[in-house]
Amino acid sequence: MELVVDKWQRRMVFVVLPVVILGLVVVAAGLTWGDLPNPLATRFHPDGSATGSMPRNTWLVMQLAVAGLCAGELAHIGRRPTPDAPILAAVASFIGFLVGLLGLFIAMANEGHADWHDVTMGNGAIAGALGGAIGWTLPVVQMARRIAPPHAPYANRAMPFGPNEHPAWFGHTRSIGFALAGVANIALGMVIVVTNQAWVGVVVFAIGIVLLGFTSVVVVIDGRGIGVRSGPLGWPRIRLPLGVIEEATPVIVRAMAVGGWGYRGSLRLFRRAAWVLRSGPGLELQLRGGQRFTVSIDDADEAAAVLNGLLARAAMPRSG
Amino acid sequence: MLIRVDAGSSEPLFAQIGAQVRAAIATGRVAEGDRLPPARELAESLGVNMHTVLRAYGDLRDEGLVDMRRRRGVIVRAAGDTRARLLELARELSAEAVKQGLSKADLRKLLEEVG
Repeated sequence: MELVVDKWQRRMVFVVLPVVILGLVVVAAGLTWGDLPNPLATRFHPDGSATGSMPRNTWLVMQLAVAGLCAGELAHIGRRPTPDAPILAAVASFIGFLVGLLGLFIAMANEGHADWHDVTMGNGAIAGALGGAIGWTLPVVQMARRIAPPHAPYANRAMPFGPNEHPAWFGHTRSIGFALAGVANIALGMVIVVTNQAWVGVVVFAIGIVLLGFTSVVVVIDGRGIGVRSGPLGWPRIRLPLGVIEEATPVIVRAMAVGGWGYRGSLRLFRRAAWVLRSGPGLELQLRGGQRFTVSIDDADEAAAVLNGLLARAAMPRSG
Repeated sequence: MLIRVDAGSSEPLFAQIGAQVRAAIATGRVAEGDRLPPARELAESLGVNMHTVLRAYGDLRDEGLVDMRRRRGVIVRAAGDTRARLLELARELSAEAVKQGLSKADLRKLLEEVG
């Protein structure tokens, strides 16, 4: 019976909701399209008067892009829920409904006006969109919590090490996406330097170099702790001594769950940081003081076992 | 890739490192084109002298298992797979022969009989 409810919830939340979010955008634009001014008013002063506009097609494409992204993310969560499903569902649902409802209210406000300057939209519409988005998101999060698997699906193991043994574990992850983006930026930067403003080209070129730096990440685990660094550049570099690590766990990392690809968060500011080049196997470190660091790495199972083995040996009283 | 050395073992440290890289190549845990850890970094991690690691890498190069190139590092060779497996078997056979009290000449004779 529990399974049936679970399946029904999945379908409701993660099939019906994406359709509703996309439907809001399509229906709002479809019903009013002929009566919308071009450009249409999209920004408003607190007194209700229009202060900014946007071409009709651009507005629709932006609406569809954001709503599509959120709907796609919700559908993905329903298909393959991860431990981070509640937070992901909250973000996708809130942004999706906010954009959908705001789009609906903007379309209604613009409808029937020939010039966008004449359009007015009260604060009530924005408050309504916010309230609606929050109202939809709360039950979505509840349902996501019910289908989310527990945080550590793997049994944590520790590799035994003798008192005179010195282990060294080397691992890496590569990202074709970062490599392609880096090369594309470098090429584009060179073209812009020649054909356009030089400083813009230099900035784009520099971004390309930084992206190439994230093409691979190298992880080294030894008796001193763990070191994580960029493969091609050697920087950024993070060193976590064994003494600050509580436990290592192999996890499945989802880039969207940690805010995207690259280095995300800050151990000092947010007590959470992640270095993610791709979704998939990763190593999660629980640090003393409640901080958490995640890095995407191939063979994370062995990496965790080595680190846990070193932690277990360090915790044992040394004889003699 | 995991490499572990035992400072209390009678086997020399460079031989321990070499044996583990050979085993990793033989079992496919490292493949053709994979880069081995830089000697300096591996030495620091294992707490051994860099020349110990360089000696192990040098032996692997002499066996045709890896290529050592300046700036590019130490890279596993294509032919490594079969040769590494055979070398590992030969080493095991040699160790067993010593245990049984056979000399190198006896072992050679034995191999000729088989072949």
